[in-house]
Amino acid sequence: MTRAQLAELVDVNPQTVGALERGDHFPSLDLAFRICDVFGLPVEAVFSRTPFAPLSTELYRKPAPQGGDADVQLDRAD
Amino acid sequence: MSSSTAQTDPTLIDRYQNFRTRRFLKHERTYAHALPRWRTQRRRRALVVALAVTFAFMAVVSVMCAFGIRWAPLLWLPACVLFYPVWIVLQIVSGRQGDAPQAALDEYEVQQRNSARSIGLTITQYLMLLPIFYLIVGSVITGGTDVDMAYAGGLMATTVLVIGGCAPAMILGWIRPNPEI
Repeated sequence: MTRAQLAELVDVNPQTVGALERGDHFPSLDLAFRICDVFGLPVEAVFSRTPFAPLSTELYRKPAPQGGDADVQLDRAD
Repeated sequence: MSSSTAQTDPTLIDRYQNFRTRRFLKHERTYAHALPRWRTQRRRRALVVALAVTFAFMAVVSVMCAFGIRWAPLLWLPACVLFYPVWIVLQIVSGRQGDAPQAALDEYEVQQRNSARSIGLTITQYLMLLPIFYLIVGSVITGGTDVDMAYAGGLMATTVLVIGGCAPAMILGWIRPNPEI
């Protein structure tokens, strides 16, 4: 889907879609829901305050080892 | 019992805004595809610079009139000849977003238009101090008898008002990126 197509579907200027992608503009709740309706996804799947990780990372993320990284300590050899 | 329909009846302001929006959209449809090569950011910035040069020329003409140069007022005509075509082209290629009604813009465009208008108002307020002080101080010094000063003050005020009126469109024409392909 191009920016122009998405812009037409949610009734905004294509440059506004570009501004949303670049993070130059935070959409209103109404515009956010209109965009989510186009993709059929919930808001948290389309918008995030932090960049989304690649989809492959989300799907195939390795489970954390038992005990976690906090337990790993390096011994200094004197 | 109050009628809930009374609140939804369009007021005079609503009807005027609807009229403005319809008229704006009609003009927008007419000129939507005019001057396609001038819609790039580079060309729009060239138009903004040309307008700024025209305004500087107008300001110089008003100062020349203040010094009583007899032929200086005639220079206002070439300034207008420069101004109108450049201004009209800038308005066409930038979609007249500087003075567009709110209903004709999306939320991001409204936000940008309001910011540009706010800057334009600030520019107008500060620049208008120049002809105001010139006229006040000058009238006190000359006792209000200098015709050149009154004429020059009028030209200065006109120049400042034109600058302030054009500033939102100039700002938007400068900052808007190239059209999406």
